[in-house]
Amino acid sequence: MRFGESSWSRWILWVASLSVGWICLVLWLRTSSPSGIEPRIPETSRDSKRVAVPNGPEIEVAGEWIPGPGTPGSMHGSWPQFRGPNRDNIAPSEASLSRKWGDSGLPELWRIEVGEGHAGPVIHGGRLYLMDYDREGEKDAIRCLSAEDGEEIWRYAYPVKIKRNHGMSRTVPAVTDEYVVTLGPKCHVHCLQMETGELFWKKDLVREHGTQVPAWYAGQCPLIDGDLVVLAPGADPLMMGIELASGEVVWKTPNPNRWGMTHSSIVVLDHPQGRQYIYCTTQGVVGVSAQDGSLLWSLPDWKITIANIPSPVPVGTDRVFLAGGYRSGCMMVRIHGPKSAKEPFYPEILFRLDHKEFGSEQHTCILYGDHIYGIIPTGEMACMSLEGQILWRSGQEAKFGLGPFLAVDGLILVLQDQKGTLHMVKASEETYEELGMAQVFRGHDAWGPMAMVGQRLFLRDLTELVCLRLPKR
Amino acid sequence: MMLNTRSTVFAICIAIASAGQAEWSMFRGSPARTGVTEERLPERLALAWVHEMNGSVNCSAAIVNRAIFVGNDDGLFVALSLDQGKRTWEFQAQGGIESSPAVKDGRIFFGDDQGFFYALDQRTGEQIWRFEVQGKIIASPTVEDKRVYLASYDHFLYCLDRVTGDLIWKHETDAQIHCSPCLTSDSVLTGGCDGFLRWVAKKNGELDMKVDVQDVVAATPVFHQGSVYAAVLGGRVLRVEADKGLLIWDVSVGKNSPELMASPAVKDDRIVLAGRDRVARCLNAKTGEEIWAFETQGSIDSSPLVAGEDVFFGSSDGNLYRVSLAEGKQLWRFPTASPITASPAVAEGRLVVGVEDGAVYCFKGKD
Repeated sequence: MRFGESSWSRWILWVASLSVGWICLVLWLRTSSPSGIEPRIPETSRDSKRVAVPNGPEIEVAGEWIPGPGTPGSMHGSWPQFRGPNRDNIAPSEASLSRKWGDSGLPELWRIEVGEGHAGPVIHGGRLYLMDYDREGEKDAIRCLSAEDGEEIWRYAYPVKIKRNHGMSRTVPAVTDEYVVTLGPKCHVHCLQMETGELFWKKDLVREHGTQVPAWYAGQCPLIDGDLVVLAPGADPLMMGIELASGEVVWKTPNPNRWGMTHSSIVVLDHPQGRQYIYCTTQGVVGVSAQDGSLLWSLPDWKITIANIPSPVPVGTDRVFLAGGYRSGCMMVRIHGPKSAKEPFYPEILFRLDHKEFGSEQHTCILYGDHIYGIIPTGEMACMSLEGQILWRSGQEAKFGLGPFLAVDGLILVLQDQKGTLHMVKASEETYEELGMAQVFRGHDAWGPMAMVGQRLFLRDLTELVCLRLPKR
Repeated sequence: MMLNTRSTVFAICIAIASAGQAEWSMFRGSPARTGVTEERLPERLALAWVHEMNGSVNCSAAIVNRAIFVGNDDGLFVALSLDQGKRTWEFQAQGGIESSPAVKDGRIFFGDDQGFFYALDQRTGEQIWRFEVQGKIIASPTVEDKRVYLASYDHFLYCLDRVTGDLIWKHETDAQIHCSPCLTSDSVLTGGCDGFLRWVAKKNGELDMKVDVQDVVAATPVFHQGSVYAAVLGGRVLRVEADKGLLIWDVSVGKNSPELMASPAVKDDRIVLAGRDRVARCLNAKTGEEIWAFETQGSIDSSPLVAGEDVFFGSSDGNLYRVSLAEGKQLWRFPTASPITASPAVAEGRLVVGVEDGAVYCFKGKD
């Protein structure tokens, strides 16, 4: 077949298809009764509220508050946000943990089924909060459970249609003594009273700010900093500070180049010349003034195609470590402050390593002591110096896929994402040394971040949430 | 009508029997130290709660009136609600607590390793009286009528007035007493590092009889249907006629004389014991012959408890085991990942055990 003939055939076929489609549309409009079509209005319950959104239209999604039989646990301690109390994924060690687990497994305090996804829990005041998805009801479900036994105390659910796409939920709430703030898979933000679940305010970042929901849904975990929730809509604006109590936006970071939302989360850098919020956008990494939201610096060199998932890791007061997947590798950046009021901050790349040396596809690396620990793209755990020297890799026999990990009491706890095994690794720059292993899940895709309070470790796979108790020495 | 009345009475008796022991008020469940309750736990058990005590929990809990009483080696003694494991009160003793509490008529009795013996108010945890001895108290007290019996590493067996804490009598042995006093009809039975089993008269503390068992008695002896059963440290088990002290049988268990620290449990014609050779065993009480053996991965100091037809015990391998009394078959296992030396307690539908890393676990029937 000659080229010309092929082009003509396609052209004729295209015109014919368009014509048939147009005729069908006209026929449908003439025969259907528009009055017979009722708009879908979400159910409103006695406890739901329609909230007038500051600076925006009223949101149509109405929530429903549903009580459960659970009561708050009496446990002390808190894991109040993504990556724990200091957003560094280091659990405060209240007790010296046993370096030996034995062959029989770890005590399982409770296990519950959860919606398909990777959303990790937070724990505060004996309560556990989870941004879950109710697939049957087609609702996001902000769930408050007893941290003691996993019984549901209440849930606040609102209609959102989500298709399965490597899990449905993947964000971690932030909680204080008064508020719990969530960001749903389709970028619905809710602020509820942490004990009662009463709705204070909510926002729809897509409708109000033009956010484009990232592939596989939102992964950004809200940051609570003092009286503010700091979020990066990655649209209009790039970042914003919202007053927790009122939901009022108190500052916005302009976004003239439309740097978009990623799965990464905002972190705080206490720079000597002012506190900053660091965020990885679709087009690069930015530093924003915590004082007024102004953009202090940006670095387009840190742009990851497909997805930027891990969050930046502050190193000291003026460095930021970035690691990513999809062949991006990693880099260490020093944030130089201005020498005079007229000069800007500027980021200096101290080193950059190829993905074959170091990187992280999904989870944020941990700065523990003076070393960086992470799961590199081969699935191995690796330890790196702050100067970019790879100190060890766990080897072919110790791969963890996209499993989560946290540090506690001189240990790294890491979950193998497909086998469901929890591994206890000595946090040492000298060598990879596994001290213990326990089977936790039979399922797969254990990607959700872990949480730890006292000796209790909360972890999940795609469909189950488990609370284990780690033994003391 | 008569038939109905009889039926009703019979039904009530059956109901009472089925309900079993509503409480587990002291170490081994009773003054005879049989380590048995008629209560049957549901086939499927689930963790009800965990209470963190920090210090090692090596004593056996008491379960009375929907409350749990237990101490740890930091000297912390607590009362917990049975349903939720919430702490209702706490008491700080002078020394570490290995002595399991005995509860009677609103009072709780236990000793510590600094030689203090306490009587606390069951409701508030307030100290009512305290009695001091000259050695540590590991043995668990027992209570009968108006008296409380205790033993110490100071070689003495003591009888106190349970209301006032006044000394009624004390009886000196030749060595430290580790095991807990066991009551027969007229005597307080004790053993110690001097290699004797001693029958001491309840009424005056005079020695009625002693039997040379030629080994240390660390495990608490059992009085059951006219016989005394004792496990000695060198891996032997003896049955002695309780009234006359005549030896009925004396058998060695295991291959290498395993140390027997755990106290045996005796039900009907079966003795269940456990040793530091990692093995729990069941012997025929009539002959001393082994019926079954169940091996764990760690040494066993946790005294087995027989609840209904099942045996519960912990192991230093970190597991709490449930095996059948009939065959020694494993029915259930819960990994705590921490060695268990405390003996479990069963009452009111719950199974409670403390572990060395400071947790108290409570189990109930699975919904």
